[in-house]
Order: sequence, then structure tokens, then C-alpha cells
Amino acid sequence: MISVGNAANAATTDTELERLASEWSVKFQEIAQHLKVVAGTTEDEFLAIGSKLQDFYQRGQGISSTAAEMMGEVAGDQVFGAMGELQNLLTEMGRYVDGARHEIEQSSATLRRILGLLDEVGAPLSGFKKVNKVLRMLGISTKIESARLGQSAAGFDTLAHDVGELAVQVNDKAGVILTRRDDLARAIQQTLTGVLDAGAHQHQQVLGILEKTRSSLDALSEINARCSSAVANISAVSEEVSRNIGEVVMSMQTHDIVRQQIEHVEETLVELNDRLASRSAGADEAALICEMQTAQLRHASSELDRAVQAIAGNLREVARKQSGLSQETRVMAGIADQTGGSFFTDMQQDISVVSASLEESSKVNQSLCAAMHAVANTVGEIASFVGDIEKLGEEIKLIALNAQIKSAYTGDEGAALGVLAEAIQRLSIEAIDHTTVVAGTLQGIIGVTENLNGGLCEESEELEDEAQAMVGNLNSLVEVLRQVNETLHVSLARMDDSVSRLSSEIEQVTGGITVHHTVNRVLEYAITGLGAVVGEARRLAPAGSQGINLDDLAKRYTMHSERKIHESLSGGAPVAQSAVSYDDELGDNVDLF
Amino acid sequence: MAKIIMTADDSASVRQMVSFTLKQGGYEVVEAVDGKDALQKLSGTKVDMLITDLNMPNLDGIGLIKGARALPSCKFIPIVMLTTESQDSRKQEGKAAGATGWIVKPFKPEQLMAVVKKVLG
Repeated sequence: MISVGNAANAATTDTELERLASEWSVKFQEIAQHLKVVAGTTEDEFLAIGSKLQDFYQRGQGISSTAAEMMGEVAGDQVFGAMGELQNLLTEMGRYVDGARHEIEQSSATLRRILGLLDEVGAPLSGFKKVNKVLRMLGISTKIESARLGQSAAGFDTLAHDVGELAVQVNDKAGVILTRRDDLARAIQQTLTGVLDAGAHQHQQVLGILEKTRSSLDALSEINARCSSAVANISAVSEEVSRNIGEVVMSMQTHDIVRQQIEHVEETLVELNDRLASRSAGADEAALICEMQTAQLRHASSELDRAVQAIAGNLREVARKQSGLSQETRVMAGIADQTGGSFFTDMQQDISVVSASLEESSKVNQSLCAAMHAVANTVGEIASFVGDIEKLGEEIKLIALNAQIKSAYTGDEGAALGVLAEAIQRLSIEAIDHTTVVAGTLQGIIGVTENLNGGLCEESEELEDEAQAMVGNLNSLVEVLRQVNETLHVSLARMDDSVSRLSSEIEQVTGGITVHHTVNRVLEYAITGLGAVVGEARRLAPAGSQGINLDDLAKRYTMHSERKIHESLSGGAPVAQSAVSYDDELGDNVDLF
Repeated sequence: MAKIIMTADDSASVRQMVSFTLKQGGYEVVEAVDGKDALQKLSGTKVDMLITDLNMPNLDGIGLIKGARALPSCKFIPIVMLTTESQDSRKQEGKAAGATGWIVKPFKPEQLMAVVKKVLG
């Protein structure tokens, strides 16, 4: 039984509801209008992002392809082949330089031996001086004895004169030989110093450069090996970028989902408005439906925020990864950066030093050759003088023999002259002996010189050609690598430019996304409005959803998330997941019949 | 020659993403803004597959499938629903109308490509 008081309260509530319903109606219409507008006008911003996505994706793919091409180029056959050849050439050059060093050492040893032999010539040459001195004394004694004997020793005076003359000649020839020997020894000493200096300098320099080039080549080999493995890394980055783009594609669809959710709220509010106007809905239903729509809008707002964040984050990630790829490619393939920007320039400069050094080596060979010629010529000259002395000795020997015979004819008085003639003969034999010793030493020098001269001068031109060919090959190989490097630099610059433009455009696009702010402002306005309605409605009908039939409302929802929110607030049965078995292989949202 | 796939959806941004994904996979794409537009285009264009939304103005996805299946050129082509709707009853409705499969939005590009490859063989 309804008491009078209760009836009065009910009447007051009805009047209040009527008053509020008319206020809510205005509010619902305003909110519905705003929601309708925002649901229908925000797609353009998404479409603008979508149209850029295709471009970003293709440019990203282009950057990855360039990176892969560059890595492929560095790890490719051309570079690999050139490096192998360069390695072989460096070994060959090392062998050549070692050979040249050995050659120089041998030449030096030979020259030292010649110096020793020339020194040996000194002793017999000084013997000539003694012979000359004694001969002259004997000549004077002969003259004195001849003068004492008078007419009976006629002819001995002339003989003494002849011996004196010959002694002077022997002395002169011996002097010339000594001068020539000293000159030659000096020249050899000079050549020796030059050869040793040049040899040591050349050897150290070339070996140093070869070592440096070998290290550069090792660095290049390392880069080469890393590039081979980096190709797989690029493909991994490409896959990651594809995943990022995939995330963007997924998030872009949120607009449609949120739009539908907003449209459903809008439709629900219009319907609620109608039901309030026809009094088929009360304050409790209005409160509950508004609470539900608030939850739907909050969900839509957070989903939109999440989607925009995902779009911006993933696009920035694409830019970051492409930039990382560019950096990595620079490190992997950017040979210049690895070695301070002058890898190949340094290599080419070094090669020109090697070339100069090898030219120097060739000059050393030529100077050795000239020295050997000089030795041969001078020794030839000395030999000729020695021959002259030998002839003089023979002449003196004959004169002495004549004197001996003549003194025998002179009888006892010529005995002293006979002794003198015998002494002269002995001295002539001594002079001849000295010439034999000198000639033997000279023969030794000639033999050594001929050995060195023959080998050295014959090989000199051959070695020069060989060295030039090696330098030529070295230059060609470095040129191949330099060209690859240049191509890489051009590609890197192009890639850097692409990455920079892509990053800047992505930044521009992501920085310009405002759709979520626009939508959220409207949703916040709607939520605030609905919150006020809930507050007023709950004053009239405190919490409780018993007896309110929300089946029609539930039918409006097309999405699982909407139904879940609805169910959590209506206290109804939990929303069942699809009973149809999903195709696991394709994902839990795919079902093939 | 690239196969042609039609995408029918009243949401331009969804059509754009479907189109983007399919073009990356090497397919040609024909777009339709709703079921009616799709049906009109289907009568004049031979397509190898149809991907359609469910809720669209003028003619919805179910109506489109029925209409398409009535066309000789579309009798045996794969038709996949791409919709936010996930209720089994609606799926059964789609299946009964002649749908080959059902994808609930949002889709991942690789998922869509896998489905396309699977149904196109």
C-alpha cells in the first residue's frame, strides 16, 4: 500500500525528472552533435598520415637496399679479388726488397774485398822503389868503376846510363800505379758508403711502407668480413622496419574503431533522449546508460591516444632504425672513417714512395755497375803499367847480362863490374817478381770485379723493369679499391641525405598529429556533460541497475571491447569470446570457413 | 600479371591501409566505398578476391556477399569479411551468405597477406 507521503515523493521525483530530462535533452543533443561532427571529420588527418606511410615505407626500403648494395660491394668479388692480389703483391715486393738488400750486401762485401786486394798491391809497389834506388846506386857505381878502368871499360858508362834511365821509368810507372790504386780505393770507399746508406734507407723505408700497407689491407679484410655478415643485419633491420610499419597499419585502423564507438555513443544518447521524452526511461536508466557511455568514451579516448602514440612512436622508430642503418653502413663500409679519411690517399702516397725508393735502388745498382766498370778500367790501366815495369825489368836483365859478358872480356880488371852487373841482374829479377805479385793481385781484382759486374749489370735493367711492373700493379689494385671507396662515398652521401630527409619528414608528420587532441577535447566535453547528468540522475535514483533492460543497447555494439565495457557496468553475463575456432596459424582474429 | 583484389569499406582510412598492405604484396587493388558501390564495380570489373566490411551504408557486407555470389564472375572467388564485428552469430550469417573467411579489425599486414595467399592459393 502506497502511503500519502510516498505518493507525494513520487510526484516530486516525476516533476524533477521531467525538469531534468528537458535539460538533459539539450545536453544530449549538444553532445551527440559534437560527437557526430568529431566522428565524421577527423579521418582526413589519418588519411594524410596514411598517404605518407606508403612513401616512408618505400623510401625506407630504398635505404635498406642501398645499404645492402654497399655492403655487397665491399664484400664483393671485385674488392675481394683486388685485396688478394694486393696481398700477393706485397709478399712479392717484400721478397724483392729482401733480394735487393742481399744483393747490396754482396756488392758491399765484394767492394771491401777489392779494397783489401788493392791494399795488398801496396807492398810489391813499394818494392819497386827499393829496386829503383839500388839500381840507381849500382848505375853510379858502374859509372865510377867504368871511369876508373878507362878505355878497357868503354861501353859500361852507356850501360850505366841505360840502367839509370830504366830505373827512373820503373819508379815513374810504380808511382802512377800507386796514384791510380789510391784513387780507385777512394772511389770504391765512396761508392761503398753510398751503397750502404742508400741500401739501408731504401730497405727500411720500403719495408715500413709494405708493413703499413699490409696493416691497411688487414683492416680492409676485417671490414670486408664484417660487411659480409652485415648484409644479414640489414635484412633484420628491414624486417624490424616492416614490423614498425605493420604496427602503424594496425594503429591507423583505430580511427575506424573509435569512430564506430563514438557513433554508437551518439546513437545511444539520441535514443536515451527519446526514451526520456516518452518517459519510457527513468533516472536510473539515464544514469546507468550515461555511466556506460562515459566508460565507452574513456575507452575510445585512451585507444585513440594509444594508437596515435603507436603511430608516432613506430614512425620515429623507422627513422631511428634507418639512421642507425646508415651509421652502421658507414662504419662497415665507410673505409675512410676507419682510417681517418685518407685510407686510399695514404696508400697511394706510400706507393709513390715505394716507387721512388725502387728507383733509388735502381740508381744504386747503376752506380755499383759504374763503380765496377771504373774498377775494371783502372785495374786494366794498372795492369798495363805493371806490364811496362815487367818489360823494363826484362830490359834491365838483358843489360845486366851484357854487362856480365863484357866484364868477363875485360879480364880481372872488370871483376868489379861483373859483380855490379850481377847485382843489377838480381834486381831486375826482383822487379819482375814484384810485377808478378802485383799482376796476380790485379788478376784477383779483375776476377772479383767481373763476377760482380756481370751479375749486377745484367740484372740491373731486368730488376728495374720488375720493380716498375710491381709498382704499376700496386697502383692499379689500389685504384680499384679507391674507385670502390669513391662509389661507397657517393652512395653513403646519398643514403645520408635520404635518411636525413626521411627523418625530418617523419618528424614533421608525427609532430603534426593533433587528431587525438581534437577528439579527446570533444570526448572530455561529452564525459563532463554525461558526468553531470549521472550526478543529477543518481540523486533521483541512487545506484542500482536492477530491472533495467539493456538488451537493445547491447545489440548496438559490434566490438568485443564495447560489449565487455557494457557487461562490466550492466552486471550482465560475461561476454563470451567467439566460439568459432580461430585459425591459430593466422592469428586469433582470423577465421577461415 | 598481378591479381586484383577489391576492398569495400566505408572507412577511407581502412581502405587505405588494406590497399597499402595489398599493394606491398604485389596485388592490384580496386576500392569501393560501400556495398552498393562494390557491387556496381564488380559487375564491370573482374576481381580475384573481395575483402569487405560488414557495416556499411547503402548496402552492408552481407548484402554485398549475396549480390556478389549471384554474379557469375564472383561465384567462386574468395570473399573475406574485414570488420570490427566479432560475434559468432554474425560470422555464421556471413558464412551462410557465402563468405570464405572473417577477419576482426584491426588486422596486421602480415595476417592479411597470409590470408590472401592462403585463399588465393
